[in-house]
Parts: sequence; C-alpha cells; structure tokens
Amino acid sequence: MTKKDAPRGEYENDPDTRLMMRLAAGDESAFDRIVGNFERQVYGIIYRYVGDTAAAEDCAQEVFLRLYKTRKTYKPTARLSTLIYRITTNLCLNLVRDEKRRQMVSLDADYGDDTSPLSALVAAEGEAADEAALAKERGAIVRAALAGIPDRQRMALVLHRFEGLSYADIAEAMDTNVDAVKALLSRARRSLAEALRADIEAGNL
Amino acid sequence: MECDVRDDLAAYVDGELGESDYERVRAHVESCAECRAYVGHLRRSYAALEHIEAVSAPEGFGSRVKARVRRRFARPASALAGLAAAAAILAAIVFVVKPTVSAVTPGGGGTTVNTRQITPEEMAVIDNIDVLEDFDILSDLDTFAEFESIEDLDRLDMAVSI
Repeated sequence: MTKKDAPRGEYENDPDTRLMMRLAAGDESAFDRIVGNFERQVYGIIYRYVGDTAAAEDCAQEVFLRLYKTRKTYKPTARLSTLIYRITTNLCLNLVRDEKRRQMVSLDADYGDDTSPLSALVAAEGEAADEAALAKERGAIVRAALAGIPDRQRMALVLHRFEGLSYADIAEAMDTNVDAVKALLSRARRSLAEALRADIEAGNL
Repeated sequence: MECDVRDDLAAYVDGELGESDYERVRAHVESCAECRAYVGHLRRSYAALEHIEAVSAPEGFGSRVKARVRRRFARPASALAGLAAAAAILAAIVFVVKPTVSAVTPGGGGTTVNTRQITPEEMAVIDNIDVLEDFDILSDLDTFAEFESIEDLDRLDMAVSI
C-alpha cells in the first residue's frame, strides 16, 4: 500500500499531525510545539537552499505563517511533515525565482568566477592558514557548488542529503513523482560531482 | 560514449533502485572501470557536502514566528473593534454636536456656533477620519488575504491529498 492509499487514521496517529489537529481545534499552544519541532528542519532546508541567513529566517517564518493559515481547514490527509516540506519547498522555489527576476541574488557572488577561495586563502596566508579557516573555506567551496545546481535539482538534493528524505518523500514534498525525483537527483549529483571534481582531485576536499 | 546505466548510478548509490535494477547496475559497475570511477566520484562529492556546517534556527526564532502570527492574525479583529468604537464616537458627534452647530441666535445678524469642547476621543476620530474613510479598503484587504489563504489551502490540500 502506498502512502497515498493509506487510511486517514494512519496520519492521525502521527504525533505532529495530532498537534496540527489540536491547533485546528483551537489549541494555540499546539502551534508553539509545532514550531519547536520543525524549526530546525525548515530553517536548515531554506538556509542550505538560498545560502543567506536573513532570507532564510524570513522565508522560514513565512512557512509557519502559511501553516497557521491552514489551521481552520486542515484535514489529516497526509503527515504534517509532508505538508510542512511542501510549503517550504514551494516558498523556496518561489523565493529564488522572484529573486532572480529582481537580479538581486547572486548565491556565489562572494568570490570571482574562476578563483578558488581555498587557493586564494592559501596564497594570502600560506602555511599559516589555520584549520578553522580551512574548514570555513571548504564549506564555501561546497556551498558555491551547491548554489550552482539548478533550482529544482538543488531542492531535491537538499531534501535527500541533509534531511534524509527518501525519493518517495521528496516526490510528495515537491509535488512530483519518484521517476522525476530520480532524474532530478541524477542530474544534481552529476552537476555537483563536476563542480567539485577539481577540488577533490587537488585534495582540497 | 556514456554507458546506458549512467543515469541510474545516483539511485544505485542511494540504494533507491528496485532489486532487479540494482543487480543489473551492480553487474555493470563491476565490469566497467569508467562507471566504477564515476560511482566513486559521486560518493566523494556527496560526502564533501559534510563541509557545509550544521545549521539550526537562530536564537529566538520561535518567538519571532509567534509574534508575527499574532500581528498577522490578531490585527483584523482589533482593527475592526477599534473602527467600531470610532464609528460609535463619530455617530455621537453627528447626533450631539451637529444640531448645536446649526443653531442660529434669534434676532442676531449672524450665527453662533456652539463651541462645546471636543473631547480627546472625538478629536482622535477627526484626526483619523481617513482611516474611517478607508474602512472599506481595509475590509477588502482582509478579504484579499482570505482569498489568498483559501487559494493556498486548496492548492496544498489538493496536492497533498492526491
């Protein structure tokens, strides 16, 4: 039996889904617990997707606002986490699309196109570069590679790699099917592998 | 030329292939040095994502969310209550002040306006008369917000329940 065929009762036994049902019934304290239970996931997905703390906070707040809006008509037709991932995914994709339209966001604008930040650091500080700085720069290399992956591929990758969602769960979150997720992740990982190839082969990562 | 299994290799690494597909890809990878190297690179590049630091929501995030929810969802009710109070005061001005303003001194050459002291509450209404005039706009804004909400809900509910 697939999740979509599951009886409604299955979701009603999910503790988070029950919290949402309590909120729907007017128990405002349930909302506090929902925020507490999901703030790390929601903020983490958005931050890794957009790469900016201020935008991540604003967008994460909006996720919970949208969720709160649904309280009066909420029906437990899926796990609450599925609904939250769906809202998060939609807002992220819209956010980046809108930002691109305004040409205000350049996720990899911190350094030039062809300059490896690690190489620049090594050149600037030589052997004195400490491990913390190297770790930070390794993070910058990987974030830049992630930012270079097309939007939907990047979202699928973030949900899989950082949230540990299965292909089926990603398909539900992104409103698509498992075959499409498989294709998205295949292309995403190919892009990532190509973007990091030089640094991996050079031993920077 | 790329091998046919190339597009399956990510799912192979992720353990997301069905049993028969998994065996087909595994047999190919064992016999193909190029695909084996590619699988190794997929694994290394995926592992490199660990260099992205762990993140958690910033301090006070939950409080800010709740404050924003209160602002967004409590405002219409309080605004309506405020406007209702303002409307009541305005009505009082119309019924109490207006008749005395129009009173004319008998036999006099001019009119005398009753200069009853305007209370601070009445003054507030006068100062904020534009708010009252915009009452319909405010109401419409609420309606628009509800429309947006309902649209979102329908989309989400439909999508989730499909």
